[in-house]
Amino acid sequence: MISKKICLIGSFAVGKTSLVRRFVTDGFDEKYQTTIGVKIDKKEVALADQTLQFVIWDLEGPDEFAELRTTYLRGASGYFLVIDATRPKTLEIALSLNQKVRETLNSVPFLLLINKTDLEAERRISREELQPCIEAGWSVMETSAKTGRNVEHAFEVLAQMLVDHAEARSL
Amino acid sequence: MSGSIAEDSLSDGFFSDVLEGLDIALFERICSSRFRPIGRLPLWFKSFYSPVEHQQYDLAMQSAFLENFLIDAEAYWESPSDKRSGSRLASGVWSEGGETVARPLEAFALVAARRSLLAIVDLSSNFEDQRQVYQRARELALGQEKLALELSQKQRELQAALEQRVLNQESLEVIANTVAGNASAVLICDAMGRMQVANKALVDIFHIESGASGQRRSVLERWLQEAEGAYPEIKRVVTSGSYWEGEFESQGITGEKKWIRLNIGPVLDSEGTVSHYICIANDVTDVHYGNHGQERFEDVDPVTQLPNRHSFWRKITQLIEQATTQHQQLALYYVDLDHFKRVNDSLGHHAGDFLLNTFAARIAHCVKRTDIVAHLGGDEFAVVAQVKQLGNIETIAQRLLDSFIPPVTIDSTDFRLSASIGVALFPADGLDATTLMKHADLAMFHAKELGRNQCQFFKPAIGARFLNRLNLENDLEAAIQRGQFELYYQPQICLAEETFVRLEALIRWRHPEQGFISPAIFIPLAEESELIHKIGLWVLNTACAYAQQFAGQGIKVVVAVNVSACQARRKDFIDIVEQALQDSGLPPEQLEIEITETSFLEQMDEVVTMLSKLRRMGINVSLDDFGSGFSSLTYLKSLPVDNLKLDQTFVRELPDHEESRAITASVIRLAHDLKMNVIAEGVETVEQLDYLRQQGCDYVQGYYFYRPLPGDELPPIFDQIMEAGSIV
Ligand SMILES: Nc1nc2c(ncn2[C@@H]2O[C@H](COP(=O)(O)OP(=O)(O)O)[C@@H](O)[C@H]2O)c(=O)[nH]1
Ligand SMILES: [Mg+2]
Repeated sequence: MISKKICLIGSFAVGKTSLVRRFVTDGFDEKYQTTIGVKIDKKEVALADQTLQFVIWDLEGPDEFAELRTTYLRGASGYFLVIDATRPKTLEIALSLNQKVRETLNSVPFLLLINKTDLEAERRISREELQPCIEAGWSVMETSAKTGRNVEHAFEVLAQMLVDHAEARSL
Repeated sequence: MSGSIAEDSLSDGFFSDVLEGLDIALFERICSSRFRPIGRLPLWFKSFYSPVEHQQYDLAMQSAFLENFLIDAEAYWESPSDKRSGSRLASGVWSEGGETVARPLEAFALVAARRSLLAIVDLSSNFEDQRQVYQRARELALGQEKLALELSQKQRELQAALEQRVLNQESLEVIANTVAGNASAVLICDAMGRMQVANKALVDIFHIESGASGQRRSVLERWLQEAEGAYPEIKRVVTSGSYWEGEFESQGITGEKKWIRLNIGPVLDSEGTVSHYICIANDVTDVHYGNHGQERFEDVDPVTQLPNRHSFWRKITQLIEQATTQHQQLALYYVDLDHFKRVNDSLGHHAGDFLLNTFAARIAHCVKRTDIVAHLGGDEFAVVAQVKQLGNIETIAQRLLDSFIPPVTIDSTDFRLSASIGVALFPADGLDATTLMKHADLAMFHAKELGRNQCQFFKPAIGARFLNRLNLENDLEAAIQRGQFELYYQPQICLAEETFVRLEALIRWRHPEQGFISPAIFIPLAEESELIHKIGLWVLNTACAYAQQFAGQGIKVVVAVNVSACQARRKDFIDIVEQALQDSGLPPEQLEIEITETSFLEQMDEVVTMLSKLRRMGINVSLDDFGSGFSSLTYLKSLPVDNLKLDQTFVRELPDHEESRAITASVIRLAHDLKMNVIAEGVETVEQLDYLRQQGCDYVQGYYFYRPLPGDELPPIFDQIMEAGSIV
């Protein structure tokens, strides 16, 4: 089975750890437990014609306490850029982080996840604001680690992107 | 010798003793994938990893994290960058094991006695404390982020609501009552920055004496000055009637420093001039310090991915420091798209962002990689280039302008946009970032005033106008006494036969420090106080005296005097005019009063009565700027005027612009039907003149013939003026 490293990148408390937990164990915890350092999980994703093993690196939300260590990105085949739909600032941070990631990882596939979309009333990042990202050719998906909305799907989409990307490169 | 001692003392036995009780897993590297434990391995280690053979571990295979770290570790063992003893390479923290048994670990690569060692440490014992600290700090940051977000939304809503009330002409007292107990500080000023409404929060937070309403050095003025450090364009933005919001550090009267979040919303009257400023402010000192550490992540503009204002500020400051020590020259280009708002409003946000993106990329291509390109927000960009040769400054400016020429295609439609650019040079135009930015911004604004799609270099005279707008009122008072006003006269050329000279008197203010200040700037200021009446009186008297001085030479000079709406509404206006005629001896038919449409907006009946009286006295009345405002052709016939002055915005577009052609033709036709003459303003080309003549326009005025001239330059050319219309 092919194993692929992917990373979750985004500001702290956007729900990276929660997304992984929802995906791996289908659970959710309302309580915020900040992640320190790296947590690696593994899970298989079945695609139409093959199964991939994801090695998922949940990276500590970078802030004044922790920098994004680019060595953690090494060997990643793709990544999720995660933002919190209720915090406009997390979009800015994600864009800035993404620049750093691009410098390290060149053009691996990534998916922008707008998480916490269950909090419809508190939403502060409109779909219009994301339009530039979409126009720039990014794949964007709305998720909720709490309700599970699109979480599994996001991993499948990224898996498919990795496969397509690998095929395109071997052509 | 010493080597053998080390060799001995670093035997496994020694390590075992040292490691006993330290809870560290220590390995020696055998080959790239094999590690041999030194001493006894802790229990937790054995629960995560198992040996492959003979007490050897393949750590890379067992842990994805270590696999990654060992790549760096190999390089380190190969040639440790820091050869001092005790140096090591740390992996950073990771957590190993499932959810319930997870432990925070950290690995270190080190070299001792020429052996490559790997230590894995369990951080559990003091990890929880550390985690708690982080957790608390992040929760705090989250809370503050949320507060800031809510606050800015609240401020915006309040400001919009108050603006609506001011526009609805609600009395300021009523408004003051409704905001009295508001938690946000509310300040409403008149156009001069004088305090009109100040609620309790404003007084409390910023220690303003509530009784000092209308005080000279107003709170707004102080804020503008303080904010200028970080936002050099702020004065220009608000005094030209645009909305502003931001955060800056403010020093209260008590000397105490605070961060304030401020929104300034200028309220525009029907003429488009600022009537009030509505300011909402909050003390965000706490929030600000809380968020400080995050700033480095907010360096990129989300739309264009260029450095944002914040990071630009840092970069330009650095660059200036460097340029100062290395005696380099820099050019700062402030680029503002023309009519971007129109595009954004009509095509929508997406298309707007798309355009911004496209132009951002093009702008970035105009300079070297080492130069700075930033998106300051909205439709504003900044470029800082190092100047190696003087000629380069203009080359880059031209390149920037040219980069806007190719159209941008959206939904298979081509869009064309231009930009206005202002340039300020270091060190010539400013020695620090704030001054340079301010000057580049003003130069940009000047480029806009001159018709956009061009580049202007900063000149001190450009700056003078805006910078002290709020102080100008004081100077205005003195200007009359000190004789700083002058009248210039611009000939109006008759396109038929004429036996007299027609001149429009135009006021000029020669400010002792700021040079010439345009009436477009100071008349609105004067109108907000009684000063307009003093100025008006001076103009009237001076113009009448000027025209009358040629009577003795048998030359008839008709002089037109501009009268502002508030002058015209004064009860004693007729008396003033009569007095001026009497004092100068000028026959009434040689005086013409020019009023604007806005004079009729209020008290229309009184104004109409007054004008009718003037006409009965023999004085001519012209309606200025016709077509620029609300005027409709239908009500024209009820106005007691002799002449219509066709606004230059139409004239400028002649003869190519179809709509302007149509308007011009119908205005002339209608005016003639109503027995009025038409005077076209702003005639600059022979094509415009030909078209106007063809349509039967009576008089033309503009640079094509003459600019406004000082009084003493006219008498020698009186003959030319009278013949100019028939010669061409
Ligand atoms: N309502 C809601 N809360 C979420 C969601 N995802 C995460 N959270 C909460 O947000 C907080 C931070 O989540 P966490 O996964 O630790 O964020 P991380 O720092 O990015 O790993 C926690 O309190 C979660 O319960 C979601 O989709 N909806
Ligand atoms: Mg986490």
